[in-house]
Amino acid sequence: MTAAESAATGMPLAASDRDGPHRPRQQPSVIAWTAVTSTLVGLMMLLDPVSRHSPTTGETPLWAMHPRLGPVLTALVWGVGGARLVAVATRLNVPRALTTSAVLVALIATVRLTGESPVAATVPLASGACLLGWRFAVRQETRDGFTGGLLLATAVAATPLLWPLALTIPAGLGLYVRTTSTKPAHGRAVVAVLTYPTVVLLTSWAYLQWRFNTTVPWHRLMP
Amino acid sequence: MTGPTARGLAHEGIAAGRERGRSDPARTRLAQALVERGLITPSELDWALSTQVRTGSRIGTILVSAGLVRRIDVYRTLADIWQHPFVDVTTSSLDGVDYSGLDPHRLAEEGWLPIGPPDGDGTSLVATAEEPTAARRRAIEIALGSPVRLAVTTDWDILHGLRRAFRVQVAEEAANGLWQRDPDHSAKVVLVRSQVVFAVSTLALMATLTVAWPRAVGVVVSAAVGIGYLISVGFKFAVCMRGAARTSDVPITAADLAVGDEAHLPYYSVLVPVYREAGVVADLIANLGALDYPADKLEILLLLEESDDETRRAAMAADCPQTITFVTVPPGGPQTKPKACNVGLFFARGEFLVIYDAEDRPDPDQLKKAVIAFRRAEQAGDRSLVCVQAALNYWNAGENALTRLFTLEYSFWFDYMLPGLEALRLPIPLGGTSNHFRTAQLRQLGGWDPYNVTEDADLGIRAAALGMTVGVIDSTTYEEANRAYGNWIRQRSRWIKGYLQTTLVHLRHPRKLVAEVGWRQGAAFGLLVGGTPLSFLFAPPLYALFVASLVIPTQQIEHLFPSWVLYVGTINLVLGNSLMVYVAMLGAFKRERYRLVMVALANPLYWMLHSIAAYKALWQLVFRPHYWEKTTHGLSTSSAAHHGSGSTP
Repeated sequence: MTAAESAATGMPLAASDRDGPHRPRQQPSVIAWTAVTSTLVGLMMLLDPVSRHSPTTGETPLWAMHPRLGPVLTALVWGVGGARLVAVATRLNVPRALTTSAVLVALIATVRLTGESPVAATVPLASGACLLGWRFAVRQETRDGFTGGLLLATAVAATPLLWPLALTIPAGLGLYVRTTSTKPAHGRAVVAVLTYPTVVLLTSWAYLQWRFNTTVPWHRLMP
Repeated sequence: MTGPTARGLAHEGIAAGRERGRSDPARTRLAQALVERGLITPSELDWALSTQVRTGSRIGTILVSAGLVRRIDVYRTLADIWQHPFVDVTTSSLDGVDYSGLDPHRLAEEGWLPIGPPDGDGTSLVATAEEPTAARRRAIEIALGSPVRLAVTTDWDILHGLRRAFRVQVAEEAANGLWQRDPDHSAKVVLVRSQVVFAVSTLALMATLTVAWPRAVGVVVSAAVGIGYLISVGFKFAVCMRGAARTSDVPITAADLAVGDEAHLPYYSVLVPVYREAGVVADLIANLGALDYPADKLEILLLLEESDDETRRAAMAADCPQTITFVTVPPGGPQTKPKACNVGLFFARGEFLVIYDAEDRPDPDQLKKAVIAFRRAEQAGDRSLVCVQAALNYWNAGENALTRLFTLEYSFWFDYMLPGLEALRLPIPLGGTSNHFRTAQLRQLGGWDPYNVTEDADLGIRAAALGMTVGVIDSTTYEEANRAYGNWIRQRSRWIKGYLQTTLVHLRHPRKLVAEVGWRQGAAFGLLVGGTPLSFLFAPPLYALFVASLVIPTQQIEHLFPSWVLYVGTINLVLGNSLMVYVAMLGAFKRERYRLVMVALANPLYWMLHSIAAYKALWQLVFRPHYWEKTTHGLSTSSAAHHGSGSTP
């Protein structure tokens, strides 16, 4: 519909009209990225297997479900996260090759440092949670808050070492919102949304351990 | 209800007349005559003329809808100008008039009605609300097959006469029209023969297997329930997340609304079924008066049950504006809201139509947003969009625990679930009010099923089955949240019973359903409409299992279930409940009702209330399938002044 037609009919232009011709933007494929990261992680496991009982991981929910969930989660998280990162970087006109290389190098370095432990997955998880939590608190992007909360919980499920992060990110953002928002209970709500999945995960896990195994997941980290 | 679109006399009729108001010399004469007779002042005429430039409506319609002149005075003046007698249809007997072969929709659209039998020379007296030109006379004579004498009457008189003339047909159409045309889509019969056979066979098989292998049956059933529960919750969570992404789009902005030319706004019908609502009818009239839509393009039909004298008296005492017409719903058949709506649909003249409940407070710009949504779909070549649904929310959210939880539920459902379903192109079960339809397509769909107690949800699914789509608009109608637990249970049991009815109706021919809508939409329908009541029915046993796992030693439970079944069941329960609590938290955020976020943690208790309602619904489905549990409105003690999107409990 042209502007003249819009004026004649009295109906506003559709959003697509205002935006001009639709130019499909090439999106990096999440599936392709995950395939690449899976191959990479698998090859590294094959060439340089290390003990799956890394001293840093403890008895986490992920480990308990299946010992090989660590590599799977690592490949998945890096695949999805890498695709997203490249998409954002492309929108910011950063060369795709540069972003792709940086992500793959970071993946190799992380896996080399942490072995096959799920800790390798927590780097993008924690980074994503921080970014999304910030967007949620500052820019009111509701879905980012919920995705961020779920990422934090997944990161804590991978390694209890991220407990402090799971506490400090929501607390910091909640405090920030409390000082900037005029709405009552806004800061408290931000904290609740970001911490809820982690709290549920840990309490549920503790219950399941107590009921079925009589142990708790973080007992090795307790004094 | 299959009403034809305007044709035949339409070029002379109401629709055409509305478009030509500006240049009609009779209308100019009308304006002068009204001033000369002292019925309006020159300044009122100036105002009406300036309004006419903006809206393109007739001068008489503008003056009447603004309450500046009585409708009957306008038409008496027109009768004098047109040099025809004026006739009062309300006092005409209509006896002896043969209405067979006449289509009431067409008569309403074209604005004429025979009001007397042929006299000695075979000439019939016909009332018309449009100018009795020679061409119009000829067209009416062709339609009736006899010569006619024309007399002028008001458009209101035409509708009133139609209701009297077609009373029996209207009652039958409203109550049984869908059943007669399409019994497969009617809930008049709860279970068809094949469903009875299937249900009895399944129960017999289950009983036999339970006697033979009780432990194995327990394992299989609990595993099936657990998996089904998890899939259902996962589906809802995924749809909500998709809906949350969609809310960042702002499809219709204030600027879009400002650009729109009121002259091109279509005639709009608002249907308001009321029954035993004497306490809120005055508020209703005030709320509808706040709608930002040209009054001369608005038709509000207040649908009153014939036996409900109390509400009728309250409505008459409320000094209704001229845009509101009382329509009496004839008795007979089920006394339900959808039947009343079908009566309204029968007489609705708007290109679009919306349903509001008695206690509704719609955003003032909602009708305009709906029009823009429909027009955009047309411009995109999408003629399948039959309905757009506005969000519902509550203005008394902070009243008590129940209203808080109810508000959380509505927020997630209308702000995330329905937009998510729309984004994924899945069938949308409509909410009870604020659904805006294309009137012609709604008639094609057959109107509402008066035997289904969630006729709105059923209509959304029927639309999908017939290849039509439902969208959502970013506008809210505020309602009164139920604050009384008994009242809430009654209301919810009706909703759940309706979901069960809808599921049974659309699963009469599952293969046909899948062939019509596809696997994806069929599965979504099953999970959403069928899965919701089932999850409430199964929740108490799952909760009981959880409590048992807390207090009974594992060895004793293993006599009934292997421990892995208990383990998986517990994970299901925890995961499912946690995810649904999380989406309830999500619901509070968009509305900036931050204090409600933590209230979401009490949702498991709220779901237990759902379970009570679900068992009541199941009982009623068997013993009183078409009984309409009336929800009492007007119980809130919150101040009405505090309603609106900004109300934070």
